[in-house]
Amino acid sequence: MTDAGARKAGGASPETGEAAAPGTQAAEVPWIRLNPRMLLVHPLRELIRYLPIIAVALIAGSVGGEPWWVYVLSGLGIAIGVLRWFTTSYRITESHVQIKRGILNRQLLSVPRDRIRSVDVDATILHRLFGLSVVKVGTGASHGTDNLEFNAMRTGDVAEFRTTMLSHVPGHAIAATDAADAIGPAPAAETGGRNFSRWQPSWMRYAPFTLSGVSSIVVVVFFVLQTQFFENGVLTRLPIVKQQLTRIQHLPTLSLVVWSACILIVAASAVAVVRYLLSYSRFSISRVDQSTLHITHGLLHTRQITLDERRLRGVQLSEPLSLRAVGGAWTHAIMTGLGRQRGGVALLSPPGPRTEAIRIAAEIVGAEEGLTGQLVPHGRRAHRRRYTRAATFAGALAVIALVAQLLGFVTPAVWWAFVVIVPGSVFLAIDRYRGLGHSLLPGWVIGRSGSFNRKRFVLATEGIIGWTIRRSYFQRRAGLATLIATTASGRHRYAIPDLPFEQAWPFIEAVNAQLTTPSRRQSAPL
Amino acid sequence: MSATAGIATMIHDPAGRPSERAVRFWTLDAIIGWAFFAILQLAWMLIGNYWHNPLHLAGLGLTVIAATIHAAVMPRWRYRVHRWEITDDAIFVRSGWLTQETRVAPISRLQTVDSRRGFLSRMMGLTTVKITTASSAGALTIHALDDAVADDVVARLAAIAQEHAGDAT
Repeated sequence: MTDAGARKAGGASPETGEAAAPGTQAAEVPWIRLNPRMLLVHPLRELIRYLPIIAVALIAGSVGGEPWWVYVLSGLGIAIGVLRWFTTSYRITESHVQIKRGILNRQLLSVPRDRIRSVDVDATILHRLFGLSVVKVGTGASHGTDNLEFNAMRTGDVAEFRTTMLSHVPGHAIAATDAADAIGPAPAAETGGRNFSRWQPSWMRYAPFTLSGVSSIVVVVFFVLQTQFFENGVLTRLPIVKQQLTRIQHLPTLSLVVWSACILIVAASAVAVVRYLLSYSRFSISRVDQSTLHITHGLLHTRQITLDERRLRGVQLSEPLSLRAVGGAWTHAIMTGLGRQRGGVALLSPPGPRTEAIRIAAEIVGAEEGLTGQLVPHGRRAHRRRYTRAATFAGALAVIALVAQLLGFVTPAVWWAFVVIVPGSVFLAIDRYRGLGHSLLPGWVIGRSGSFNRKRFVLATEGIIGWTIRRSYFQRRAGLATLIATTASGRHRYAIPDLPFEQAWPFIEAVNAQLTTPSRRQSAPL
Repeated sequence: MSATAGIATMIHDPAGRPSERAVRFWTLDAIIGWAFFAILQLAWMLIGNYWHNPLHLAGLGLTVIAATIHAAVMPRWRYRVHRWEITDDAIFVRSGWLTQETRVAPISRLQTVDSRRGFLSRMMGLTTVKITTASSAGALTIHALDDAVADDVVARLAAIAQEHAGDAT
């Protein structure tokens, strides 16, 4: 927060620094450390993070060359992990929840207890092995980054902690105590209502189409190439690689291309399926109580989110091109206070059948028509702009190819690529226009855009706290505008691109007409 | 329903403009930015002794041309575009030059009001007022106001914010 010299007009985000004013009796409440088992979890997490580097280091070590920096890095990671436990402490006073953290930059975060709106519980496999859960305490209006994160406490203590934290929230008090009574000392994670996800192992057939496999392979390849570069060609010194390389060099280009494409597809699919199973298998979603949703998925990863109309602002449906081709989709809930690191969204359904994704989202958010209804297309000018942009893209590639050829970097054979590029960009233009649309239903603003990564958002009008109309030079010439709804939830900005300019203000006006006057609006449930 | 009417009518031309010294301020700001970049280029040439390298000389020439065009065009264009207005219901701010943005936020949703004076703007008696909402994407910035006008805006917004308690999400 950069509020040096700032005049607070009505601050709602947690105060940082010494601004917090705990009462005199609050000063007597001792500071508590988090669970000491984190002394093991933090370093282990760091080590797992460096695992690929360590593996490469060991392989490299087998052909000579001592990668000392790997050991330094791992040691540093472990040290930081241990220090993190020693430097983090918290206390709960009558009026405030405070947390002190930071190794070099000390930070004191203080949140008035009556501002607390949510308690989200998250546990990775490592946390669960040690019987721990990460608890995130959110204020309704927070920007996410200022959230109080307790990493981690005993899973058994979570229910009680949650009750304490939410006891100030009217309406929550009863629900939370009920839940705690029913659960008793047992972890809240083990209870819950009916699982309505209907997830089946067969959903993993959608995994290869999410392209998560391709992206992980790209990451690995970059990583390998980078060590190759920094370690003076470690790879080419390995005997196996040497052998294969000489074999490959004798293959004709065409069969090389075909073979590598096949291998890439098979490998990417396999990686995607494994990743899918690791993170989404046994996906289950159920209501713990009226306002708490319990989401479990993957290898023991659990998540429990507080869900009420104060936080839930809509849903986002993702249909990447490849997944759409096989009738798949996945959904996220748009909520406040989830933290922007994860894009402020909570997974509602993993990649799976589109109809199921919509059913789950509708059951929770209740905006089925917003997810399935027809959208208003953006008209001729937006249509033309799709082609102009596709042509610009192809044209830019042509210029690059021409220059590269003139400078002698590539052979004229490179022009064959345009057999794919030109129809590809035309298809993209068509599909992008087809995806473009918006609509306004009572209580919901809906927008959809994109082709490769098509997304449709259904956003509660009550959650919208401002508008931005953005027009680039070219958009002004085409009479178009990008209308952006700003909100305190999810990604904080939801854009309707290339709307005809003359429709932008009437649209804002129509949304506004649905809401009451500002003075009444802000007392209504947000 | 006054908010509705307000937003609909307001749109086309918010009344407030930046200070008349804004053009000079933006010009100086642009020149300083480009000068910094040019100094880096010169330092590179000095260290590597590239005084006769045609690529380096062309790079320096490009910087000078781009800087001249930018410093000549941008400030006037900005001054024509920039507008702001605070009504009883909402705040409107228009800004930009090549890419232009109009932002609206209902007054009930404003959270903090900052006034900022950088070194250069302090010398010219200018203030930038930044109004934040609960959305990190929704901040409204009114650039280059006269100090007195800015103080007035801040005072007015602070008074309005007092009336609207709540967490403004």
